[in-house]
Amino acid sequence: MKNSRIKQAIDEAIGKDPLLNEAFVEKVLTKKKTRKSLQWVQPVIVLCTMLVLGFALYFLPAENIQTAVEVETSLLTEEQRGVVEKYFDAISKQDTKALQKVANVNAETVLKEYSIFDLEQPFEIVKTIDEEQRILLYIKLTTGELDYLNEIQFVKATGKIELSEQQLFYSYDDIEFPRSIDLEFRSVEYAPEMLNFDLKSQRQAYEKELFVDGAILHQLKDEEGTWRVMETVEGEFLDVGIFSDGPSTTTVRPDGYLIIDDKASIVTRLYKHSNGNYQIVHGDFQEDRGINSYMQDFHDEPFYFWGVHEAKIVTFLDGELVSANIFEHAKLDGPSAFYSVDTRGSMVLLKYDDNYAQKSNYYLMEGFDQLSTTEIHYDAKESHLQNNVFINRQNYYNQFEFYGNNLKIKLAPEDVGIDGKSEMIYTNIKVRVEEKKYFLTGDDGFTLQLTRKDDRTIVDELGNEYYTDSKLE
Amino acid sequence: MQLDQFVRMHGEELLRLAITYVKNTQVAEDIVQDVLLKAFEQQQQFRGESTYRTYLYRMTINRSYDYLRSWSYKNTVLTNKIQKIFQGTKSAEQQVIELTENARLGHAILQLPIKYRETIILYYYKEFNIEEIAQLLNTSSNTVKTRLRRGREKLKFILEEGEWDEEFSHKASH
Repeated sequence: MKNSRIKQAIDEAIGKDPLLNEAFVEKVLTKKKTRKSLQWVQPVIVLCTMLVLGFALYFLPAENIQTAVEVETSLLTEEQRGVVEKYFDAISKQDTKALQKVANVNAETVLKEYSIFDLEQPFEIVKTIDEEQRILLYIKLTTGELDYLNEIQFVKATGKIELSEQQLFYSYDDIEFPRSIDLEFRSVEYAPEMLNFDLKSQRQAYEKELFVDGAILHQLKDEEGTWRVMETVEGEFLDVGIFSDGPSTTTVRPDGYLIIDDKASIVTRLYKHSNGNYQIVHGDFQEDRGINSYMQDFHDEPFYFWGVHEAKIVTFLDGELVSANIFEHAKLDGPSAFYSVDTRGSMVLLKYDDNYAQKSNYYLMEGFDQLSTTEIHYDAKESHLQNNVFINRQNYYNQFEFYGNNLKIKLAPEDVGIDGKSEMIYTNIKVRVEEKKYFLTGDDGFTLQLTRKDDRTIVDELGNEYYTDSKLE
Repeated sequence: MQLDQFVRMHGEELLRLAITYVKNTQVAEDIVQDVLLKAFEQQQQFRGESTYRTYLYRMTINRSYDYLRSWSYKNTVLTNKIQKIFQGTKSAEQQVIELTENARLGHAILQLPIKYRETIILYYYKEFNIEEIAQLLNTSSNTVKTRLRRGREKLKFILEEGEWDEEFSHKASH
């Protein structure tokens, strides 16, 4: 019998009550009946639709049916894609009335702004970001020789396009990283103290987390989630906030506390200031890290690098907890939404991802007010590609697996070609190195060129980055 | 066998499997509905190349991955920090959730990256062996062992030493 504790734990997390109920059975049976009846109805519907379409095509003006522009994307719903197509169609025809129907914009300004672009060709939506209230769209437009990224937003409530609040157009030619990023540290806020908070009068179920120094973290079940209230050793109650309905991982620091919301992956640092009050700061940590690896990656020096898209550096200055938003003063070529931050030891990794191109660059803290690119020379060695596995940074399923004299290339399901092969094995691989490049050859004319990027990363000819667990020595 | 019997026989375990992937009750139900209907309609066509359980699991896993790769799931939701999982009606009793050590472990498992999570779940929760998991996920036994080891390492802070399956510890580590 395998570890029954894990089984129980998963059952508890999912819920001990059965998921299968009569309502679900009924749903399945109903769906089957609906499928069957549709089999008879479908041909009738198709025939009617054809008749209606034929009528419409014959009697109605053609320009009411089709737009001139074509949006290449599979990420939007049909309706949303239709709105985007009509938006650009109206712009290409200089039709302010048609534009007002699909967009809440100043038509004259918009027509002027877009006048330099060629809207005749199908264009791509390079990235979409789905938020609660809106969908941000980044469209690649060309002036003939130069490419630009156009940021617009599809507002869900109105079903119309609105212009971006930030910048309308970004240069989309060669994305380069800035050589340095200025940092502006500011003091973080103080934790709100709840002066008349009466714990005994709280009716919600809750549990307590006892710290070794006598402080207590009360976790109250609120309809919005788990409300965390810190009872300090001085007897004050501090509002730590609500992030999810999940549990916490906690630890005491010499100067305060660390609380991690396990479910939302939000970390909270409470720092006891010399004035006796507590400063508080929150941050995200990377989605793909379990909590344990995050805590193991804690820096000994007092710098905390937090955040994915809202990246910040948190540290201490003159006895105060301070933080700096990494993107605040960064001169980025693309929209900040395309960038995220990760850490590798003492280095900050700035990543760019627009779904078509992925790039990254390392920075070191230079003094207190700047991140600077590192100029480190890396050499390629044949031993780097012996019995080693490299995983695509953007898609875990794409991998290079070197074993013996062979190379197995694994493909993600969406990258599998017509032949249906998700793995290809190349034999008798020979590696030649030159500075930071690896030149591979193998049986049946196989060739591949890779480039070493840093301690753990290699890059293929398309610029895709692959990392390995062990350092490349 | 009638459809409702078929659903009752397989529905619960497939729902529990799907929910560990998509972490949403509604989505899991949609996935399992499709799997059960299709499997029921194609019962005669099952060729017995694997066990029927493996066949159903593979269908469920593939559809779960389809959802996880879909645009509606994949695109970043920047402002939505509170993840609502297991949406569904809850009784008053269920709303009083006591967070035991086990629950923390369960939550931590469900927070693992999908590749580690599914291997841990198929091995410990669904009790497949290494070879069966390799067949189910169309990968090699070595890869399964590696993912199990890495998944366990990520959970190490919760579990005490010696709690892992001794047989696996000796055979699988390399």
